[in-house]
Amino acid sequence: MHRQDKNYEESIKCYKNALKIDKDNFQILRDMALLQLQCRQLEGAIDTRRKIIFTRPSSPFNWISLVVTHHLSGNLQQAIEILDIYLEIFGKIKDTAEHHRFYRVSILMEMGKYEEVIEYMQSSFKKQNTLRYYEALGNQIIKLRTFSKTCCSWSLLFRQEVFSL
Amino acid sequence: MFDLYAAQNKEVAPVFDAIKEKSLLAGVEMLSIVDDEIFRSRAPSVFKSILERGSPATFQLFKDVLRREDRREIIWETLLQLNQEDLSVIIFKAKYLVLVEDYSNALSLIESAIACNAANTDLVLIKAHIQKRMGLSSAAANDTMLKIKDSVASDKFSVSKMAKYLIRYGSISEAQEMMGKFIQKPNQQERMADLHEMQAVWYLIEMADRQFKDGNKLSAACFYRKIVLIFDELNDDQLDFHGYALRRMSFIEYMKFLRFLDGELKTSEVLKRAHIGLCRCLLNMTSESDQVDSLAKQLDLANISSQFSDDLSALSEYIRSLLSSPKSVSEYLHRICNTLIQTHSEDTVVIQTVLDVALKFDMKLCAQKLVIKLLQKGVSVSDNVIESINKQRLEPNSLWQHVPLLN
Repeated sequence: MHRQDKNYEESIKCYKNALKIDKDNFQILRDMALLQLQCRQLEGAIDTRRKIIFTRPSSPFNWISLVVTHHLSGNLQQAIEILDIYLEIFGKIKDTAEHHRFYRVSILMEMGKYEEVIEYMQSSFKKQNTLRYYEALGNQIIKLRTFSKTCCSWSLLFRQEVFSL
Repeated sequence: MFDLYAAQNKEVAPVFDAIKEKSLLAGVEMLSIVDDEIFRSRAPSVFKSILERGSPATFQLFKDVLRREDRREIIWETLLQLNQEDLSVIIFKAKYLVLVEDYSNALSLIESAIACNAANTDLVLIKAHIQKRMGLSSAAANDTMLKIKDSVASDKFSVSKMAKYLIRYGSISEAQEMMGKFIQKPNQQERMADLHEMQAVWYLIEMADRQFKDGNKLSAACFYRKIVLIFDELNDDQLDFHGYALRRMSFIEYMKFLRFLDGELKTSEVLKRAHIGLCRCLLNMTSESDQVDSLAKQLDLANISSQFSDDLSALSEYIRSLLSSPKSVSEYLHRICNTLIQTHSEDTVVIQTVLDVALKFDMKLCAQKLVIKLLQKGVSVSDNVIESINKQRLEPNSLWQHVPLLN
């Protein structure tokens, strides 16, 4: 009811009271995590997401939600670590692992670890001649406005690869 | 795979040329990240090629490049070598002079261009912009815009600029009639209803400010409140995207979206003006002092549709219900002030507005901190204000916690 009326904070309080009665109820935890993210109660959202993973560790969605919550709250190193665990467990699922690898690359770029990005992209991506592969790198570098010679020449060289495909 | 670390400047230059051959726009984008040597050798030719195309957005394309003074000078030197009679060169020069705040030269350049090209609306828009920047009488900018009123009727961008000026300094109904021509509805009533529902916040804020200046505080408060509701709706809509974005695995875009909501949306200038406007309206209104029979009478509208009328009635009822209880006004203003202080803590207009609220509701600690903040910023505070603060009783409240602590 509170959620429908957009009283998200009241709604979270009600969910917390409900959890006192049934502390591992997946539905309550899931809805509460969503509202905590909505209200940007990020520490609470991280705790809730952790509890959800303990309750349902086999669902990939729960793991990736925790990664995103850590990322949003600025815990980039933890986001990377959990994403690595996720890729180890679920990385063999076709067509999905690449999205997560690009996401890992974007987190590394945000941390300023350009060297690690290069190594990671060269070692982990199976398809390295796709437009998305080069664009992901090139766009990140241009947006970060890195003027160092290495990064500048790197982005230009990547673009050259794109144009010659 | 090529050896990334072996790439040197001499290898970059031919790559840059190859890219520029394929796409001039990519070349412009590269200019903002190449180092000085490449920029000096390549920027003039890229700039000349773009300018020759006569695109109206040339200045915008180079805005990133023009942020640096040394690179700006290279562009200026290149500009001076081109044909000075060319309209695109004149327009770029004028915008450049505005950027470096040489308004008098920019104005004289544009005026001499207008003398030869009286029908060119772009030049007139730039002239009005320069006059506004110069702080000349607002009527001067208004007069400039009115000269091209009839010739801009088919251009949406120019009409929206014209409508802004008309609302600010002239007639609201004339502005609405101009904008109504772009709305595909059978009659003026429905066009007005659409106009007020399409979340055109630039239009709503101009209407709100105009109503406030005319002393119609209730209708001003309604428009300000409408803007706040639009931003609340934009913020609330994200609830549907959390699950969707994660299922679709668009993580990077999802993060950008969340950061946009937390950053640009919350600190939006229009939202700030709406919050400040609401504070000013509510501080100056009481339920008795603003006895407005009909909101429609205040607004300069020929006809209003029933849908729009209902919307305005709902907004005015909300404002009236707030005013009927001093406690609800106080709580509402506290919430607005909290938001303003969190998002614009260094803005003197915001600090002044929150100070006015603090004085009205006897928030002595908060008022003291705000006065000190204003004085630190070099804004003078009248003795009356300081005296009224001293007379207030000390009462802790939640608002003062958000005022930045002083060193």
